[in-house]
This record gives sequence, structure tokens and C-alpha cells, in this order.
Amino acid sequence: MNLLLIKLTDLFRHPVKLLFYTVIPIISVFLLGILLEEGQRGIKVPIALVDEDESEFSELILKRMKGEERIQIIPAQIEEAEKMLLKHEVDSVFIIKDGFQKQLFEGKEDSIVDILLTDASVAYGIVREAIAAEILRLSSNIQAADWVERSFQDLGILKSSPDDLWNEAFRYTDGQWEPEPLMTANFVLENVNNENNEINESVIVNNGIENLYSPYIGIWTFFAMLVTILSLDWLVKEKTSLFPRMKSTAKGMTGYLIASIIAIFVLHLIQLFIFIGIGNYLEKFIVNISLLGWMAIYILFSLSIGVLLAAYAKNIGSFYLIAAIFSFIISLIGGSFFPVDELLKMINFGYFQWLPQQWVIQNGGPAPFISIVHAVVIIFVTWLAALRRLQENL
Amino acid sequence: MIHVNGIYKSYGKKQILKGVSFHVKRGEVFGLIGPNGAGKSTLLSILATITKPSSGTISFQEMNVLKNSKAVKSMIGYVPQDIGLWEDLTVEENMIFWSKFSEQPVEKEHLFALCQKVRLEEKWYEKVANLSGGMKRKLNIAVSLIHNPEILLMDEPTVGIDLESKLEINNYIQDLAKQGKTVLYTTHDLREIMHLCDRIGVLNNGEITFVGTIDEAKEMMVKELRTPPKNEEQLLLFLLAMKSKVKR
Repeated sequence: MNLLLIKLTDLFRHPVKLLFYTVIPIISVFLLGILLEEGQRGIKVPIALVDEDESEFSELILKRMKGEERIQIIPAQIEEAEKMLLKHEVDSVFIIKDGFQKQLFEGKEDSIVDILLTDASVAYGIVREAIAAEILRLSSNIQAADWVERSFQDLGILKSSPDDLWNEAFRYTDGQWEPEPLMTANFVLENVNNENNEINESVIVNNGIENLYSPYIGIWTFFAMLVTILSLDWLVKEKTSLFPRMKSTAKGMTGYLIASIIAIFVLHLIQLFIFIGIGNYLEKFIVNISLLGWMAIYILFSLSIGVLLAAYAKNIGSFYLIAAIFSFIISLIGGSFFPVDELLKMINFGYFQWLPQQWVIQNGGPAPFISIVHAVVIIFVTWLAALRRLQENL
Repeated sequence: MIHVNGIYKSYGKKQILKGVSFHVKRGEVFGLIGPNGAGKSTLLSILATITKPSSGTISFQEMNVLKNSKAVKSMIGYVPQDIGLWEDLTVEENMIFWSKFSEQPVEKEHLFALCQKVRLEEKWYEKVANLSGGMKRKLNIAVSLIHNPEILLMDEPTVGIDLESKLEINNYIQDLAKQGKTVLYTTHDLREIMHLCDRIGVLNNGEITFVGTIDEAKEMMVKELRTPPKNEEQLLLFLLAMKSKVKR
């Protein structure tokens, strides 16, 4: 039996602890998640929407936006909307610019919607993604209807009028977006004009905002970090009892430490898979491969932080206390309980990608390279510092 | 066998060891005695290659400990003051667990034989948590012998146990010395040292103040105070009050 198996066997020897590390956090996440969902349901953020185009499509967007659960759309003229924004009566102002429908028919999606913001705007991210999704829907319906009309003409099978065929194709394609959207969207920013707080935006396709309204992943980052750190309590005990002897042996302590950490990692991966399984079953969130990878990296990060805290902890009591305080504070700042990315951008905190919770919360889509670099650097440095401390005489 | 030469160790501004020097012969049981905080455990952890000294040299059989720590680790068996065992595992599982830290594979028969020598064979399948303090101490020693080391470094191995277990352990240590193993032993208990050790070293406030046999210590007391010690406590008080009367 090797050291890894010995450690795994030891973990499974304590059913109460095992339950605490796996089942309890999952139950807590879902209970808290349901409570948060219920709480959020009653809150609607007021958003002013200025329809300069007053076309069929712009009215359709206005109508659909009114159906959004978490926002209250207030149709307004531009002057009125600006006044409301300055008085903070609305969170932000969205302007569907004149020529919106025409540009969509021409296949142009750039700079067709403007946003007015103040420093206090926090919810515009949700709205712009919802509007982008609607633009995407209209634009792809137009392209599909154009293609059908062209194909019928090319094949010479056009029997009714081209307009009727086009409308029928448009309606059919539009129907494909129900009950689940074919695509969702988020944004890249361009032409930021600070003087007017005005942002022109273009649409890019992305499949990563399924968890936009889901609090479960965020809450999981808190409980996962807490139980992962707490599950390293053995290190505080063993560093004074077993480690001195290990360090005096030919094989040393590092091999045992690595085997033990792998065993703990396996335990938390089991917890992660149970969590994802239940979440998918209850249809609370969708986890893709990228997000799964980030959740595993997040557990690795929590492990390295836990080893560092355990290496410096004077006794088990102080370790538990520090683990709880640390997990809570970093989760609060990192956005486990509510979205903080817009807030952090607002105070010009440009380093939110360094916050480990953001790796999970922000990365439903393909992981940006820089986030991977951040994760590797933080985990590596923390791990090295912890090992160095444990190698010292304690 | 063991040559300790001018060892200094400090943690920040606090100097724990101040130029400690002595030597231990092969097959000798050398007792290191001193009050709490004298630096005994620090010195032993330096000898066990767990801690690096600030300066000074140590050699085991002419081999520099600091330069050849990996080779030296195979030569030493370290018995820590805190019992280094897994309470939730059985005696057997503990022996198997610690055998994984040896460079050479160890047979289960060898592990069982070690437990027989410390009279723990009947507790082979017993959880360590259920053993008495004395039994745990014996197992603590057995574990340090798994890889058959030449040198045993024992940090207060009998602290807090009953007299019977203490005598059993002392007899076993003497047997080990007769087999050619070199034993360096720290304790507070002069009576135990008098029964067990060939020579003693007194470590006081980070300095070695005496090295020699018990008889030499008594002679020194007669010479200094013109009276022989009435009991072990008196001799111990004399030794601890001495200022660097070292005979290395």
C-alpha cells in the first residue's frame, strides 16, 4: 500500500468528517442559493430605454425587454432619460439608435445601441447582454430568411411572393429560439468616450452566460474554499507530531505531503462532481468543460492556501478561526455572494482577474490565457511558501 | 562515532546553542541532561538533520552530516519527544506506514520482530489510540528502528510513563548499545541517566558545561564542594550550577 492509498483509507475511516467535507457544503450551497434566488426575485433594477428608431424591430426589443424578470424597463425620450440617470432614478440608459432596423437588414451590428452610465451604474452588464441576445436573434433571423429567399429564387421554386416567403422564414427561425435560445451573447467594448460616459458596443457570440443569474456557482466558491481549507486540519496536528520524524528519514516529508494533498484533492473532486450532478439534475446551472476545469483549479488554489495557513497556524483553534475568516473575506471581495466585477471596475480595481473566485464565476466560456497564468502563479507561489515553512524546524 | 564541533544555533536574536562541542563513541549510550529550554531538543533535531545549525560541524563516522544529509538519514533513527504515530491506525499499520519512509523495502516479519522486542506483539492489531502511554513510547522507539539505524537519537523517550515501562525501555536501549548501536539520549531525570548512560553531557543555557562519566561528575563535586553528593538531586543541582567545567 503506498502513501496515497494510506491517506485515502484514513480519510474514509472518518464518515462524519467525510460527510462534512462533501455533503454538508453541497446542502448549504443549495439552501443558501434557493434563499438568494427567492430574495433576488423581488428586486427589479430600473433601466431607461430610448427608442430613437421606433421601428418594428426596436419595438420588439422593447417588448421583450419588458418581460425580463430582474429589470424594470422605463421607455423614455433621450432628455428625460438623461435627467433620470443624473438623479439616479435609473441605473443606466440604453439608446436604440436611429437606423437600427435598417442596419440590421444590411447585416451591420456595430454601434447600433448606445449606453449611458454613471459611476453608480451596476446592473447595465445584465441588460446589455440581454439586448445583445435580442439583436443576435433578430440578426440571425434576418440572415436565415434572406438565405431561404435567395435559395428559392436560385432553385426556381418560388411560388408565393418573396415577401411572404421571407416573413414565413423569419417567423420559423424566430420560433427556433423558444423555449431555449439558440445562442447567448456578451460584449467587447470599443470607442469608450469618458467625457460622455458613452459606450458603443458590438456583439460577439459566446455561450458562457448561462450562469448569469445563478447564485449557486458563486456560493459554491465560498463553501468549497472553506471546507477545502478545513480539510487540511490534519496538517496542523501532524506538522509537530509526524513531520519531525519524517524529515529525519531518507525519503523525507515532501512525498508524503504531496500524496496527502492528492488524496484530499480527490475527495474534493468527488464533492465537486456530486455538486454538479445535483445542480444539473435540478437545472440550477450548466457546467461546461471549461468551467469544470476552473472549478478544479479553484480547489487546487484553496488547497495551496490551506497548506500555507496550516503551515503557519500555531494551533488547531487558530487554524479553524483563520480559515473561516479568510474564506469569508476573500469570498466577499471575490464575488461569491454577489457580482463584484462591475463594482471593481467602477473603483478602477483592474486586478479582479487575480481574485480566484472570478476564475470560476467569469469563466463559463473559454478561459482567457491571462487567467490561467494568474492561477498558476498564485498556486505555485503559495505552494512554495507553504513548503518552505513546513521544511523549517517548527 | 559522533563528533559535534562548535555548533551555534539562533532563532532571530535568540541564541539557543552557543558553540556546543562533544563526541560520542560507537556503542556508547550518551546522556544529554539539562533544564527545560537548555537547547537539548534543538541540538537533537540538528543531529537528526531536521534543523540546520547557524554554524559549526557535525560528523557521523567521519561523514559530514550537513554535506551528506541523505546518506546520514539512513544511519539515524530519531525518536521525537512528541509521539510520532497515527492514533487511528493499528500498531501493524503504523509500522507499515513508517516503513514506507525507508530507502530499502522492509519485510513485515522484520516489523513484527521489532514489536516483539518491545513486547508489543500482542497489540499488533490494536489501534494506537487504545494503547497505554508506555506502549505508545515503546512503539515510538520500535518505529525508529525499522531501517536498522546505527545511531539512535532519542528525545526524552520515557517522559510521562510508568516506572515499569521506563525500566523496560531502558533495558532495551542497553541491549541496543550492546549490539553496537550508538545512542544519544536526552532527559531531565538524572536517576535514569545514572542507570542507563556510559557518559553524560550537561547542556545549560545553550552551552555544554560538563562531559564525562557519573563518577567523574561526583569526583568533581567532591573537589569543588569538598563533600560527596548525598543523592542524585544534589549531584544534578551541582551539575546544573556549574559553569563550563568541560572535559571533552
